[in-house]
Amino acid sequence: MRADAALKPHWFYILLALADDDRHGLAIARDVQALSDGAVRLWPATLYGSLDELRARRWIEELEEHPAQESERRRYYRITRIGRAVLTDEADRLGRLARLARMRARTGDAR
Amino acid sequence: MSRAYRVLLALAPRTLRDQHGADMEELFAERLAAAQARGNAAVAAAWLHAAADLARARLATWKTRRVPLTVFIDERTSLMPGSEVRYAWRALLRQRGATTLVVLMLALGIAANVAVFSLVNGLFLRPFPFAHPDRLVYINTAAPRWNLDVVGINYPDFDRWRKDQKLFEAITMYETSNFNLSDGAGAERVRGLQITYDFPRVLGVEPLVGRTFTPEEDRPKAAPVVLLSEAIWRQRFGGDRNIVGRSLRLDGTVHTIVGVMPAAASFPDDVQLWVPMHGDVAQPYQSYSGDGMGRLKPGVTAEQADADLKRAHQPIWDTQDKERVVTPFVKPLHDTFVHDYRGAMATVGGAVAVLLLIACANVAAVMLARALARRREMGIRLALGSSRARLLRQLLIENLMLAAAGGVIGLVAGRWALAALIRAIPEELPRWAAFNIDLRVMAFSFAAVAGTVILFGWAPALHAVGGDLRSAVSATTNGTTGAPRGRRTLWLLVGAEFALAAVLLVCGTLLFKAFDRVRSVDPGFRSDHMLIATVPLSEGTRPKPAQWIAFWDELEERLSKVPGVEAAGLVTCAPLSGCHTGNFFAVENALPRPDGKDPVVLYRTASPGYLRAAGLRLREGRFLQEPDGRKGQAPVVVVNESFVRTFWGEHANGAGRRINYRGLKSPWITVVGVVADVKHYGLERPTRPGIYFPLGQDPRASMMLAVRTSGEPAAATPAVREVLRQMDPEIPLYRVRTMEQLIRQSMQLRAALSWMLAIFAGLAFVLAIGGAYGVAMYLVTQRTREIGIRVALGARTKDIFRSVVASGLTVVLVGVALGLAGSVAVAGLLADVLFGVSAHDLSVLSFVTIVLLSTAVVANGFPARRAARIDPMRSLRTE
Repeated sequence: MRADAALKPHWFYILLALADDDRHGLAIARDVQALSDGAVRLWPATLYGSLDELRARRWIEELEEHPAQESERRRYYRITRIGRAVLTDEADRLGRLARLARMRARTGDAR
Repeated sequence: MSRAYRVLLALAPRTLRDQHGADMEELFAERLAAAQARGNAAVAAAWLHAAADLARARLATWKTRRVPLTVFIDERTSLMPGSEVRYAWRALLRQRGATTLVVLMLALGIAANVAVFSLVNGLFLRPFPFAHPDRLVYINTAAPRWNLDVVGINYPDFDRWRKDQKLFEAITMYETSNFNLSDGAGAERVRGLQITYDFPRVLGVEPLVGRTFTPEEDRPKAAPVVLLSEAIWRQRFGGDRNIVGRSLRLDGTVHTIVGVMPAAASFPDDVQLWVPMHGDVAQPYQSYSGDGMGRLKPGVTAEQADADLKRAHQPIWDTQDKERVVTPFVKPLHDTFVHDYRGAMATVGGAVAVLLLIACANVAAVMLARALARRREMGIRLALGSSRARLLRQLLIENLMLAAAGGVIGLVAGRWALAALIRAIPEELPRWAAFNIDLRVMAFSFAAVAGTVILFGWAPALHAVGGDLRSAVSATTNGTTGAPRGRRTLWLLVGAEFALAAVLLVCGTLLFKAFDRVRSVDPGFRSDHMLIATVPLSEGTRPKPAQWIAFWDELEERLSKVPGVEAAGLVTCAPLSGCHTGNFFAVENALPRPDGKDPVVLYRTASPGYLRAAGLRLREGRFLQEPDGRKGQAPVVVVNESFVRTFWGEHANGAGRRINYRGLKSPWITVVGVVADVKHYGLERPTRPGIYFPLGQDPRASMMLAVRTSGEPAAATPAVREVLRQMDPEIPLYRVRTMEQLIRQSMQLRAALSWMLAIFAGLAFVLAIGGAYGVAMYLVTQRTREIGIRVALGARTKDIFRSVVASGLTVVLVGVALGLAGSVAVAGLLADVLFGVSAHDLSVLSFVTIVLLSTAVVANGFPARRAARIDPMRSLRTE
C-alpha cells in the first residue's frame, strides 16, 4: 500500500475503535460516533459490510470465544497485526498532512 | 418498526443479511431511537439513510460479483430476484419469435383499450372543468302534451323560480345570440351568450380581468355592457389589462367592456362574448327560448332539485297555465351534454373488450405452447431439486416482463391512436371535453395487462409443471405427443378466438352495410353544387322589417346574375345545418289524431328562388313566387308531403286546403303547393311535417343563403362575398359550407364508428389467423416423430396433409359456428345503429363465414405442407 493513498474514513475509524479493545459491531458503531464527536455515524450495511471486507483482507479477525460475561450471540472482532500496521501508516500519513497544512496555513497568515 | 426494517433488509445482499441480519436490526433500532428523540424529521432522515445504506451495499455487489450458474439450483429464496430477472431475460431472448409475438399482441390489445378508454373517460367519467361539477344541473321545460322534450325557458317563469327555489345555490338562464362585431376595420360574426347576472356564479368561474355583471346591469333597458372571452381579448386588444371601460360596437350598438372571462368559461361551446339577458318580468308575451343551469347546494340530488323547481313553478300553473302544458325539469348537466355518444361508445367499448379477449386468448395459446415446449426443461430442473414454487416464480417473472413490455409499447401506441381518433371526429366532440391519458387510464391498462398475463401465462405453466416428474422428463425426450390436456386447451383457445373474431367481423360488416345504406338515402333535394352561408343584418343600421325585405330581394336578384351561379335563394333554416324552429298549426278538415298529440311543424320562411337553389321537388301546385307575402296579398304557404300525410291522410291532396296558426284568430292561410320531404335533421333521422312561408309574410333580419352553382360550389364563395360587400361592407358572410360538407358532417359519427369497428374486426381477424397458424405449426413440430413413423409405415403425403388440415379446421368450424350464433344475438343489441339492416343479414353472415374458413384453410395449410414433407429417416433420427 502506498503511503499517500487515503484509507476509507470509516475503515480508519473501525480500525481505530478496535485498536484499544476487542469489540462487537454495535460497540464499534458507538465508539466510532464518540471518536468522531458524533460526525461519523455508521449505518448497518456499511458497518457490517466493512467488517466483512476488513476480515477478508485479514486486517481484523473474529474471536473464536466470547469475552467473559458478554452476550453469547454477539460476534467480537479483534484487530490483527496487519491491521495495526495499516492504522499506523494511515495515522502517520494524516500526521504528515496535518503538519503540512499547519505550515502552509501559517505562511498564508504572514502574507 | 424493526419489522419494517426487516423488509427493507431485503435490499441488502443476501450474504450480509444472513451473516449480520440480527445485528443490523439492533444497530438500526438504536439509530432510530436516537432519531426519535430529535423529532419526526430526524426519524424520516434515519429511514432514508437506512434505505440508502442498504441500496448502496446492494449496488456494490452488482459491480463486483458475477452470478454463478448454480444459482438456478440454489433453493434459498431471494426477495430481490436480480438473478431471476436476468435468467428470465435470457429465456425470453432464446424464444425471440414467440416473445415478439406475445408483446405485439398485448400491445395491440392495450393500445386499442387505452385509446377507447380515454375517449370514454373524456366524455363520461371526466367532469366538466368547473368546481364541483357533480353539483351542476341543466334546467329547462318540457311539454309532454305537445310531444316536446325541450321547450325553452320563459324569462318571467325563470324569475319566479329564482325567487322561490330553496335547494340551489344559484340558477341562471342563458341564450345563444350572435353579434356582428365591427370596429371600422371590418365586420366579423361572433358567437355570444345572453346570460343572467348569476351565470358566472353557477359555473363557479372568476373573471380574469375586471368583474362580471351586476344585477342592475341585467335589468331591462340597462346601459349595454359586455364581457369578453380570453380569445377576443388577446386577438383584438392584445391582452391589454386596462381594457375595462373601453367600448365595443356590437350590431351597431356601443357596449362598455366590464371584464374578461377565462377560456374555461366558454360553455356550452366556443362562446366569444357575454351580454346581460336584460330579462323583463313584465314582458307582454311568452318566449320559451332560453336554457337554464343551476348549482345545487351540497348534498342535494337532481331529483330533489327537480321537485323543488316544480314546487316553485306551482303559482304559474295556478294562474297562467292551468292545463299544465309546460313543466320545468332538472337533470345532471353531464347527461344533457354527453347523451348523444352513449350508443356509439357502448358499441366501440364492446368491440375493444372483444379484441382484448382475442389478444388474451392468443397470448394464452402462445404461452401454453411455450410452456409445453419447455416441459423438459422444467422437468430437468425439478429433477435436479428445484422446487415447483421456484419454477412458478421464475415463470411469473418472465410473464411480468412480457406484460411490462407489452404495456409500455401499447401505451405509446394507444396515445397515438387516441390522437388519430380525435382527429377523425373533431366536429362531433364538445370543445370543453379534454382527452388525454391520465393516471386512471394507465392504471387500468396496466391492471388489464398484468391480469391477462398472470392468468394466461401462469395457468398453462401450472398445467405443465403439475404433471409427474417422470413423464415430464421422458415425454418430450422421446418425441411423442405428450400433454394431451395441453393440446386440448390450445385448440379450445383457437376455437374461442375464431368465435370472437366472427362476432366482430359480423358486427363490423353490418355497420358498414348500414353506413352505406345511410349514404345512399335520398335527401329530398339536390345536395350537389350547393353552397350554404348565413347573412345577418344589423338591426342597429336596419331597424325596419321593410328594409330587411328590400335587402333580401336585392341580394337574391344580384346573386342570380353572378356568373357561375345557376340560382340563389334564401331560407331561415337550411337542411342539415342543425337549426330547428317549431310551431303548431290548426288545420282545416284535419283527420282526428289517434294519440291526441299535436305534432310539431318545422317552420321556415323562404324566398321564391329557394326552390331552384335547393333543388326541391315540387309534388303539387306551385312553390312560393312573387308577389306572395307582399302587402295586400292573400296569405299563402307551401307544405311538405309529411304535413299532408300527417294532417289529411296518406293519399290526400294538399293544394287548396287551409291552415292557421293555432290559438290565433288570423285569416286562414291557403296551401298553394306541396314539395317532397327534405331530410332536415340528418339522413337517418325521420322528417317532421314542414312548412315554407313567403319571406314577406314573416320578415327576418338573419337568413341563410342557398346558392346553386354550375361549377365547384366552394369556388363561388369569393363572388358571393363580393356581392355582399358591395351592398354593405359591414355585413359578414359566415358559416359558409357546401351542402356536401354538411352531409358528410352529419354522418361523421357513424363513419367513425363504422371505421373503428372495421379496424377492430380486421385486427381480430389477423390475430385469430395468427393464433391458428401458430398453434398448428407448434403441434406439427411436436408431432414430427409421429408423422415420421406414419410416413415410414406407408402413409401418403396427401393423407398427412389432410389429417393436419382437418384437425385444425374442425376447431375453426366449431368456433365460427358458435361465433355466428353469438353475433346474431350481439347484432340485435346494435339494432339502433343498423338503420334497418337485419341483424341476421344472410349476405353478411355468409361473407364472414367464407372469409374466416378460407383463411383458416391457408393458415393450417402451411403447417400441413411442412408436415407432409417430413422425411421419416431424419425425423426418426433426430431424437
